[in-house]
Amino acid sequence: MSRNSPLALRLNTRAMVKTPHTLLDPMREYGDLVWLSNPNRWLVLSRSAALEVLRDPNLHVWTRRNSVERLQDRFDMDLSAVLKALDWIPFMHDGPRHAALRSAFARLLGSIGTDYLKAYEQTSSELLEVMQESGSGDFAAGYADRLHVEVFGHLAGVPPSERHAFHCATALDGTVQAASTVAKMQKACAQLDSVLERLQDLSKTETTSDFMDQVGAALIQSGLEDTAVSRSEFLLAFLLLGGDTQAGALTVGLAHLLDSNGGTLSLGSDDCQLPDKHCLVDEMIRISTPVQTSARYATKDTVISGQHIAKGDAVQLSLQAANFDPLAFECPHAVQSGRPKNVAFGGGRHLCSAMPLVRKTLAITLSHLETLGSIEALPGRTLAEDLTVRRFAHLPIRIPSRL
Amino acid sequence: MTDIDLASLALERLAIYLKRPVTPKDLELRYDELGADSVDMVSLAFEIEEAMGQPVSPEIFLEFETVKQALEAVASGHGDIIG
Repeated sequence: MSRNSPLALRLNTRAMVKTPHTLLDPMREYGDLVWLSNPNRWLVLSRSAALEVLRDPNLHVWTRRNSVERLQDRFDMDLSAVLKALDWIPFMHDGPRHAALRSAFARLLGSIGTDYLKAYEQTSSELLEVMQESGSGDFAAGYADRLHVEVFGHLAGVPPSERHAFHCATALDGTVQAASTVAKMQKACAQLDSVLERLQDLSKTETTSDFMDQVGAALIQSGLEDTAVSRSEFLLAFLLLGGDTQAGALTVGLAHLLDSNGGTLSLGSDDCQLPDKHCLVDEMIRISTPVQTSARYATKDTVISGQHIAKGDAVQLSLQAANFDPLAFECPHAVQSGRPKNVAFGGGRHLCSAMPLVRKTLAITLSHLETLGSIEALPGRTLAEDLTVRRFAHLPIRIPSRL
Repeated sequence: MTDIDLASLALERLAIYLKRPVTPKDLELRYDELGADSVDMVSLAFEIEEAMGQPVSPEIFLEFETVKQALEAVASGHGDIIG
């Protein structure tokens, strides 16, 4: 497909989150890569082209910092808290800054991994127990959305009474990572400022835990400055990045499993036709693909899937479309074993360093769901108002009591 | 605010963002032909929001082929694109 194609394809981001396949599947007939007249960019639809993009050294990540700075200058407003968060998100950078941030996240996740999983296991049990006792609950708001903040709070020494406030202040529906209204960004800044202030307090407290020492070590070993300010900004990114994607994989993944089993799921039962847990985790990640897209721009002329991409062109990867590419994933909506690797966590130099940890947390959740016996879907599902991470804000379920 | 006023606002603001004169015909161009980027669209949504006194989502500009069509939708109070 040529850049000058008379075909006017548009990427309606709202529709992409609400009904991704209705929007994206018809575009496949025009190729692995299509030109969007709005917004002006290439859109990657196939897994093979997505892998090419992820590995192409001439395609760099889109720097959202520039966009936020332009808005800040244009309207003479203070968006510094959003900028601080962006400065610490690895996939918002390329080059030395990206390498240092990726190293810091990988080092921290490596050193806290065991403690994180232990806290996750405990939190998951407690939250599911509440639902089991009442016979029903909201798997999104009452479980998936709370896990990461609760676990973080446990590790960082945030008292349980304060964790809800942390959750509310960091539930920004993707405002930091993607285009949003200026008003939402201003509101996000106020929330982020309060979180940063509290994180700085925690960073200064000497008695918190080994966790802060591990944070400091990860920063120093990655060549980054270790101060109360840098720790707080790094931890802000840690809070923002983990929660929504984990919630997306859990809620969209569970909803899909429920729907494909007639609304009732009995994990671990003899008549359960699902693949083993290892494959099920991968399929939940592929089918949910929480992060919808990832943007790049060409620093030099390059070629993707036979298509010339000119220097300066923007390329948007639809990770969702790539993970439902029927040429790579036969019957893409079916939960099956033996699939090729999916691209939900990106790839190449931007492969998400939290991938192994997230896979383990999903396995823990599946084990815990297995102990509940059966789970039934209830009406009242709603998708979150988040245009970057696809997840349910509400996912009511019933847990029938076992006789 | 009427659609005519919205068009005037868009012409004035886009001329500043794009650093060139913008005519009513430009509002009927596809976005790739107009040369506006996502920051320009977020900015324009904000300006309209300020002028109308109600929230306008920047996604509105992704839901229509031209700025003119998006402005008409805003003026007619297309509920699910405002918010």
